[in-house]
Amino acid sequence: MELTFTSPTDSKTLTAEVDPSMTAKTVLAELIGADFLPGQTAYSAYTLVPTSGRAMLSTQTLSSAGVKNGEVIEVVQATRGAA
Amino acid sequence: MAMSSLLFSRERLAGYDPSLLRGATVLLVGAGALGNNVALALSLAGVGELLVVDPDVFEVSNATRSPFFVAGAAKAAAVASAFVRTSLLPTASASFAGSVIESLGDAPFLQADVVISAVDQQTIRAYISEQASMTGTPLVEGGFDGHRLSVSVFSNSVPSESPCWRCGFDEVEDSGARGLCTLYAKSVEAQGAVPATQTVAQIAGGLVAEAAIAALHGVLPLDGRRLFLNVRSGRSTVVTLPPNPDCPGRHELAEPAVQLETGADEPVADLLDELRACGYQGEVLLPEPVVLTMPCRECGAPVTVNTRRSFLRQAPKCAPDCNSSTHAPPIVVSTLPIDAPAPDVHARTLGLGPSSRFQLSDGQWLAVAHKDDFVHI
Repeated sequence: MELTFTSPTDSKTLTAEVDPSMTAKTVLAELIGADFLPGQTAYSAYTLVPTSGRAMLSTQTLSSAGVKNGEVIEVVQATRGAA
Repeated sequence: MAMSSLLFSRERLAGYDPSLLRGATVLLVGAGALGNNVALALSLAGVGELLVVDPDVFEVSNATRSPFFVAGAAKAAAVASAFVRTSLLPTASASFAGSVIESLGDAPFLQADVVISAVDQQTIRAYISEQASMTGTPLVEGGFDGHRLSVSVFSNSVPSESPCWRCGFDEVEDSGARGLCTLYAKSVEAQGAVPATQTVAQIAGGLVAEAAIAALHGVLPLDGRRLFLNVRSGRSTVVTLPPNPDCPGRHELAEPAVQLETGADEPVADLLDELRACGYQGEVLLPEPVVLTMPCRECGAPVTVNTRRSFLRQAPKCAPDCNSSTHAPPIVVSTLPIDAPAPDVHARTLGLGPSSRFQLSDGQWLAVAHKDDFVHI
């Protein structure tokens, strides 16, 4: 299916063909590999958020999260500072 | 109209109960830029008591984001003093501890009506999350990154059914900075993080304070959710956080514990004596593994360390000028037999701080005696 991903830090988007059986972890690895997102560390943990508004767990598949063809998936990023 | 009825009049119209806030105790872990701005908002809102924990001191780079900045001062002490000074309540009080939160045991979490995590390091966020969950205390957690901020709330009313902060993090990175924000900031900036600004700190502080005030009123609209806000573009998202069935964090309230008389700063030998005198048998299950000895990083000879594993930063040297070579494996313990000789350390060294609960091998829960580690303003 085709999904559009939004960047956590700017207005960039990326539309890509993905398999519904892919996990959030795998999708994020692909987004990083495509240079859409900077490399992830535990500091900069990314999370996928479908239009349902419910964050996906890293081992959850797109299909089990109810993601549909054409959906816009927001990528959010953990904040690292407080000082 | 008398001054007292005008004070907080707007807050009453907004739904605040000033008498409820006046009687509340908030634990603020982290007195950096976020903590400064949270403390300012809570003080002006009329929260009665603030407990502040931070081991760090102010540096010049903190000044532009920290309204309570005092050059070179201990952050926790400065923020606690400023909270009282800023408050419009004649009865406002604050206490501070200039140490890492992990060394203070369960006591601060048992005392607080709401816990605020205003720390940067993930290992500390995870610890605070676990403690708040275990004690059933609402947790408000915030952070920022450049011009983005996030705020999340965890009611912890039924931890077994709700997400915790740890649910969203498969790994928690240990920066090795151990509470020191300069070291942490350097490591994070090396990974491309953009330092935050005063506007972000102030907005985040306000949002965290508002969430804490709401929680004190029993209202938690962000419970189990995280708000992300880009203060520059205005873009915001509220994300529902799912419970993670494989969460490494704790999702259950601590069971009632038998209170002991031995305190955190007394020898472990005294603790074991008391357990034997009370007829307990078996082993003490330590909250985390404790490293008793480690090999010298130069010669490998055993060096007595007696430190919780999470507190260890690097292997020791047996002598400053050591430069030779054998190798002894580290000695790490996770349990303490009640009937065996005790290591020559205090209970706190083993992770048993004031009021800390611990379990025996037969499943019973006990708790170290209470002690007030805080300095009162």
